Amino acid sequence: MELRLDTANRDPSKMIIQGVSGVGGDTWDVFSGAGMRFFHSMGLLEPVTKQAKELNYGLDKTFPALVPELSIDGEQYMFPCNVTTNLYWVNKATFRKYGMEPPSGTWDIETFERMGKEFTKKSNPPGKRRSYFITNRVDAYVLGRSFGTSQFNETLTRSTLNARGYTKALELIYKWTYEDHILPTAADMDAFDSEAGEGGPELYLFDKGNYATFLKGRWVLIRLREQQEDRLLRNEPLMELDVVQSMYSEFPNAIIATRAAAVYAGSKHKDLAVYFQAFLASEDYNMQIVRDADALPPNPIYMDTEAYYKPLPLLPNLQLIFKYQPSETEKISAFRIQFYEALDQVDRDKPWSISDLPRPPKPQLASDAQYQKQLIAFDKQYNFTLPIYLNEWGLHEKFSKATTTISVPPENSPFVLSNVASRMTRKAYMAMMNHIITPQEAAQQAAKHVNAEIDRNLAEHPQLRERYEKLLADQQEIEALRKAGKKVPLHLIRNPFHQAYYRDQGWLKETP
Amino acid sequence: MTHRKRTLRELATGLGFLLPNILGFLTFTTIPLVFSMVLAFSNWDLKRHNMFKEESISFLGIDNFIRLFSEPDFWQYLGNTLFFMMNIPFAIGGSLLAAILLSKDLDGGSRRAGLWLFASAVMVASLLMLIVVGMGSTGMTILICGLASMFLVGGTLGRTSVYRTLFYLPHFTAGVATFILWKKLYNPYTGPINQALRPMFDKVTNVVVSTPTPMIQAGFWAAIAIAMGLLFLGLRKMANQWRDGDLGSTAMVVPTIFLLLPAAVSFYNGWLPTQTASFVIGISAVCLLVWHLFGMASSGQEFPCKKSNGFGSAAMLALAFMVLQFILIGLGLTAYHLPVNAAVDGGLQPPFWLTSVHWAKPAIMMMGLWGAIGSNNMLLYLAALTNVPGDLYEAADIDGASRFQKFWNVTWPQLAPTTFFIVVMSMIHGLQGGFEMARTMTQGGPAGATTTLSYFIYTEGFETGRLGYSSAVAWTLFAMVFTITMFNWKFGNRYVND
Repeated sequence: MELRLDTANRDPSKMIIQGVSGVGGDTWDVFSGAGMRFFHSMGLLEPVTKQAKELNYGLDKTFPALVPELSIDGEQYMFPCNVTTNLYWVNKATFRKYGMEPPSGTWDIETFERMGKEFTKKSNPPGKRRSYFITNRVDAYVLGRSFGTSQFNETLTRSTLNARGYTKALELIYKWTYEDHILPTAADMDAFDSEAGEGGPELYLFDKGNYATFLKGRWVLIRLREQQEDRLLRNEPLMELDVVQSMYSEFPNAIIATRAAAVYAGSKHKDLAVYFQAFLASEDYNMQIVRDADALPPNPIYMDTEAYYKPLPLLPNLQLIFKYQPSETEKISAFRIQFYEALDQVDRDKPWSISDLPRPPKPQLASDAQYQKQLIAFDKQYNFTLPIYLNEWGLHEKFSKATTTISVPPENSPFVLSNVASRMTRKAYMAMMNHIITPQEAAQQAAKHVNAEIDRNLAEHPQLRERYEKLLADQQEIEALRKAGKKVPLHLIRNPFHQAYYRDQGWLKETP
Repeated sequence: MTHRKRTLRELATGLGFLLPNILGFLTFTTIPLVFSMVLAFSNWDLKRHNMFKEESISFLGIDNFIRLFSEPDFWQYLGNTLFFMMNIPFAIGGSLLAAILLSKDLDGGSRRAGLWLFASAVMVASLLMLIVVGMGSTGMTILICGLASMFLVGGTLGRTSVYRTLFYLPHFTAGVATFILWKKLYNPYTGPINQALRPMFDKVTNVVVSTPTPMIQAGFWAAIAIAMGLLFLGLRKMANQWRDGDLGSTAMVVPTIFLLLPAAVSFYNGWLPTQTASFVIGISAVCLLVWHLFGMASSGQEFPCKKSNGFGSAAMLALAFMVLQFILIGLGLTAYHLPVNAAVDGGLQPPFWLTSVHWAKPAIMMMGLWGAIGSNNMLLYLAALTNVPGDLYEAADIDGASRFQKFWNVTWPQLAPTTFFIVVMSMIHGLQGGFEMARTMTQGGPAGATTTLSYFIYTEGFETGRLGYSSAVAWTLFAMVFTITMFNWKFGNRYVND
């Protein structure tokens, strides 16, 4: 069988054109449930519920919070390649440099604001352009959720961005940016962008201390590890990494998201494509994600391992050290598997040495003396990066904890495309950040435009109407129950955020 | 072989040679064109109509167009597109100027060569000094100085051919690469544009802070007065043309609207800082219009002409006056707000260009101007300049004409056919353009400030899947292009031939 990867084929418009023309790839790399709903709305995705059950990669093999991101109306379409929850990365050394105690675990809005003011005051030289900020950005949705507001109502029939919570979130972001100056403006970020290089500036700015914290998922460790190695090479102290949850008002939360694999409905090899999804649920794949820190593994059980909590260095570049011949490829592959299996079994709490693990095979052309020298170089290289990984111990469980406790998937209404709703919300947001409208007006405008788009979709797609009317009736029932001070049955609430929020507030009546 | 047979054979041979082109044209132009026209009247939505969906496409009549015209976003994006097109006169002027400069003989003897060499040496020395002292947190300043040095040194060595190549550089440089370069130039803090502007703004801040506010704000009233003066001049010019029979009654209507547009927009849009200013500008405009109409009615047309006569020249004149009025009102508003802006912490700040909703459009226009100066328009003008008969200049010299008079009365009229062609093509490109810049530099933002109709077509087609609606936008755009082009041919062509 021949497997071809089209790594340049990630642009959604390209995927759409290929998809509706019947020439899409067999397996698609889809970003989030929003992407899945977009492609599903065009009928481009193949449901895989039955095959997932047969091949053991059903929705029970991943995070329960991700179910709305992988399925529509009870039908599974995707399985995660990886899973992410954005948290604020902290370099504790940056705070200590200014005589401040770094944040730990969680921070409420008042703590964030106080620390932000203190940090920017201490770090920015007076009379000069501000170039040090408490963080790179604040997610308005997450902040709005912390006030109990979602993008949509409980039944996903109307936008509720004009509610108090989102307005309050916008007010705070505006204040933090233009009055307190603890967040960078678009111009500040643009300036940073020019000074940085490939791959976005946040990492470098975090490393340099311009951002005391920055919002990203666990996957960013792939790059942070490289930067830590650079620090070691320069004989500089390592960044003291930690993570904290997003600042909140009354409801701490985070967004869980996924990059997942879906099967193209027009594929001629659907029977084979599902095996790729099944591979994503395998131990081999999950442990690779755990070790590489490429976000979180699709199956949460693999987070409950020593390899996840206490990672150890990956293999250095063997080719550079041992100069293997092309004919030795298979030998090296076998060694890799053997090495990582052994590495995962290492008892981290007891003393151990790299020499206890399987040793790289002897290259064909190397003499015994040369091989011994190469092994010494290998051990040295491996041990050189060890402090980077030891430095991470203690932070990985914070990701797993946040993902399994406070994370809620994004709200996607079946009556409006998420990308269109996001574009409208962003336009209002940018108008606010350009001082054209107030935060209140931005919230009103965003809700108005999203609701207008819902109405337009209902007019253009009459088949949606029946479902919409049914949900509207449910919405009225929810509001009546809330007014009467009664608990709301779970089955009435379609919005995953409201399910979590109602549960947290004790307003939910759990129903099967 | 009979003659008929031979003709048929020749025809078949000719068609055979043409067939690849005809097939290509049919497949990639004609059929998609007809297809998209049909689409514009349908409800084709990728979410409902594709090979995986069974729903059939319905004919909507003109529903897509009705929706389009009732959608505020469409008007905003049309406004953006038209705003960008205000760059066209400047772009044409720039390319003409470049062509005139490049048509000059630069091989002007040893003294001039010495001056070039001296300038080049100064530039290179400055560049080296910048590098030695580690100037600037950005390498952009050094890059710009380096480029300037390269131009000077190259010009010294290669003369006209080097300059012609360098001026033409924007045309054959890949668009996306230049957009990224300009994005860096516009960087609010580290970009060389703002690094150059910042010291100037600091100086202006000091001057403004030490000057009484009413004195500065008087600049606003002066600008309004000059704008009204321009309106007066424009109306008077058109009234005179009407009296002399150069301009017909019907042909006056649209240019008059152009002339009154800045006053009307300022009055209704609430741009002006005080209600008094709105009233002054509104009442002044109405009074000037009524006065001229009254004057025309009482004196009558001395030399009657066709009602559609002279539209082209009147429209050009009115457009130029309109742009100038807008600029003056903008400058006036800047003067009015200057004291308040200078008083805030940090004083006056250079624009934030692409990240500012107010400056993103002008920033892109300036970049467009740079591209337009070194474009095919410049080459067309360069070619046209070589075709101006030398005896006309000789005659003008004998008449004692100055340089400007020679340009205005000889060169400019001789370039009219070229200018006409460039205007038509620029308007077509202007209406269709803006997609690459919006996609690469701003993603249509901030807050939709740089979204043009072409970008709107893309987002509607591929972000919402509404291909029918997207086609309706495309055909509306085509209708505008077609109307404007027809307008230009009907009135502009006559103006050229006159």
